[in-house]
Amino acid sequence: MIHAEVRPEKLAAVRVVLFATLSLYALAVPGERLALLPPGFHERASLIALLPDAWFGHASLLALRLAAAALLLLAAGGVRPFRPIAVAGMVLFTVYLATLRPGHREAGALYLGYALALGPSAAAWSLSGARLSTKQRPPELFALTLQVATFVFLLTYSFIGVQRLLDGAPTVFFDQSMVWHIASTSERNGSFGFSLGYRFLEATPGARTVLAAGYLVSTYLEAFAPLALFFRRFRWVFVPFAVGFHLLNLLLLNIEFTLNVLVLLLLLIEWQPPRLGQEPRGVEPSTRNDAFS
Amino acid sequence: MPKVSGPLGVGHHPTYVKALLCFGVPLVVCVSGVQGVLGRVPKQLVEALLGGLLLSAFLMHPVVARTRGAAGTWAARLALAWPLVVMLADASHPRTMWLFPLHKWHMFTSPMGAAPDPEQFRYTAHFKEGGSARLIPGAGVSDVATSALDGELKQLLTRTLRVPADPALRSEAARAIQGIARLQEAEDPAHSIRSVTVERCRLPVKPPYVADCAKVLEVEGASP
Repeated sequence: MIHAEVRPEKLAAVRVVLFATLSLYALAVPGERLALLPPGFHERASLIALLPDAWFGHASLLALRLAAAALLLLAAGGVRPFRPIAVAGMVLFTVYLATLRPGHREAGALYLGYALALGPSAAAWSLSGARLSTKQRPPELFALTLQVATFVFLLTYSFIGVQRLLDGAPTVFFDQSMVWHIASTSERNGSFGFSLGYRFLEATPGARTVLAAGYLVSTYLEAFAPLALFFRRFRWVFVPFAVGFHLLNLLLLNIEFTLNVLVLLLLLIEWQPPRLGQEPRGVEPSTRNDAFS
Repeated sequence: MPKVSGPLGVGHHPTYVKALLCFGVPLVVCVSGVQGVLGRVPKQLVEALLGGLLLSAFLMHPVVARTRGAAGTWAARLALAWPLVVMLADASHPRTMWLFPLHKWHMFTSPMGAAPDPEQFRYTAHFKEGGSARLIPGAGVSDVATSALDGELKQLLTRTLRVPADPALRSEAARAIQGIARLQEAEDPAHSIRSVTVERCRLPVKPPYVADCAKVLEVEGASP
């Protein structure tokens, strides 16, 4: 099983990469421009939809995203008090995303962000210094944080596959539904402007068969995604599949899942960061091998 | 797949593997359409059961069992409750986005083979300085905003064109398109938009794959 043992540095590295990325996202996406739209046109997600439009003026949206970016940057640095800063940063970022009215593209990163904010991810690599990192923590908590985060992340793929199998199988795979989706989605007004999906249908003999087969295979790989947590061989199949799947989604369907790819690589590639500075106390991982990894 | 030796010397799978098999086997046979026998059994219940099997497998895995046992803090308990919350939110099929970032996970689920050809709207901005360019709603904000605005504008225009004589709907659509044009001007202040042309395109799902577009609306000016 992946994340059977997790060093504090690994959790800290995931924290730095994820929170820095979310901070950059908030800095780069000028959501305050949505204040230029006529009142009532753009629907917002979450409970903030109940708030009047006056709350979503240019200045307040700008303040919201800059505050989220600043707090997430501090959280990336592990600045103390870490948990209040990280949780506040995540809440503001979630509210900011809700004003953009996202679907589920950012949800995987949000789930990981909350796990890191609530877990012991600032026990290492904290800008506040090693003096504050000496609190005794059960070493298993580091592993548990990433185990749960990875499981939840993989569930998000699984739910989509399971629902398609229960609701649409087998018709959805054999009635050229994917051709319909390619035609519809690749020609939508995506910000990347790709219309390669429709061109692919036009230019490739046998495209319909390839799409139907790919739809079936990718649905099963999505449905079984949680196996990647348990079985290394499945992980070797799933990770390249998922990266390719998101790339093809972008090219053929104009749907971008950059944050999901980042989370996928952070959570499902077995990597170890370098040891920097003083090892936090009480967190020395055991060297025990896991028979089921 | 890991096996351990049983009391009779016959290999058997650990409990978490059994839970995974109980999750996976029904999904494999779904491709035959056998799930149709469930008839009126709510899908939510089936999804919750399948999610429960995954959650059981996770919790019963020896590594997770060891970590959760040793990390008996409130943070650990909170962490372990999180998959359950995400799973129940999905299985409850919420129709609103009020629970965001919790929601129903579905994508390309319904069979569309018998559906009419899909339609999309295309927007062209004509500049005061001359020239024109394709207008992508919210392109300067983010792709997520683009998806949302494109979908919302599509719904509004479809409603408007269904009742073309309704001046209130036409005015609402015009205001929305002017708002989209203002977003574009904020992204590219060097170009002022004089008018926006809207075309409705039908996208055949059978060869030849050539979009059939017709102009349906022209909206003047972007500035308020």
